[in-house]
Amino acid sequence: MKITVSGKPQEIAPGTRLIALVNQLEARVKNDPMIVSLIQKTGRSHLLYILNGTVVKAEDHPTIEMQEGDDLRYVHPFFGG
Amino acid sequence: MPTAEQEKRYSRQIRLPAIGPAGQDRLGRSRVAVVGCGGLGSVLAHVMVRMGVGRVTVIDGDRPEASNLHRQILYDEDDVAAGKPKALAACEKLRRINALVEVAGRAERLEAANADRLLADHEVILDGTDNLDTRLLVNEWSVASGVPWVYGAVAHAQGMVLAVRPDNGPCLVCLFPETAAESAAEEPLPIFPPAPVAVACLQATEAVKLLLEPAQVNPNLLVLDLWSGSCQQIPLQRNSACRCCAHRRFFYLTR
Repeated sequence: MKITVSGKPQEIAPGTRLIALVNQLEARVKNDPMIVSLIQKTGRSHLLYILNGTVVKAEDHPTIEMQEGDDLRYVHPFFGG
Repeated sequence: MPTAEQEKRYSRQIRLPAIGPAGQDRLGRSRVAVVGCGGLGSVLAHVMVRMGVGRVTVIDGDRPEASNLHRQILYDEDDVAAGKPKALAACEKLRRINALVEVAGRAERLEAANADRLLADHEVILDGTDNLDTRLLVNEWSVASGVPWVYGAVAHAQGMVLAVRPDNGPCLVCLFPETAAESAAEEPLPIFPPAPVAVACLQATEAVKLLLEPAQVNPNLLVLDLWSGSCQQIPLQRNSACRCCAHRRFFYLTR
């Protein structure tokens, strides 16, 4: 099954849930300086996951099953100025 | 139409098809507020004043500190030594840049109690703040009043921009539905000085479009990484369950 993650095509198994992708992405970016800072300060990455244009609350990650053609993006919440 | 003095001063931007004499005239009759005059707000106010926006209100209750000077382009060492409020120090600089613009400084922190007084009678609100709470207050005021605002924020060499049009599109709570409780994340992170400059320039561009050609406003969330040179445009939809723009439940305005 094909989806896109941050604009790049990715093949995943049918039935894959969003939480599995979230866990993969969090592992992939754990050494990003922004993520390192946020984890040091707050204990978590604070990444936001946007599925087909809508931000998905963390509590819904385990229950959402990915669908063919889904567009998943992730961003950091920024509050500095 | 622009006066002869304005035509001369703004000639290089009036020649842009997107602005033209009518657009310059419209800018000259426009009123914008810059909430927070730090790394983002310094650039926002600077650009608005140089472009000839008719009235620019700068709202900030802080005073310049030495640690601000690497990125907050309106201040210098004299301002830090004088300890003058940022809003007033900024206004002095801005008036020297363009005497054709009415510049007002409000040395106050934006709060629910003064939001109407400080923000009313402006057509666009520009986000130069450094914390989520004030942004959520501005967002609620915008949704309640119908006045658009342009969110911008930075950390490290990254940043993001979203033009919030209460009549059309997502609001900040659609983007951060559950982050309000995560105030610990507001602790200052490192900032690469070019990042707020770049982000504020994108915010200023969206503000000009809101004033001149709202149909041209970018509906996407823009995410920049200056270090890698990447810019993502992320489509973002209004959340039909959003407590703020869908259900009009306001927490910050009613505190």
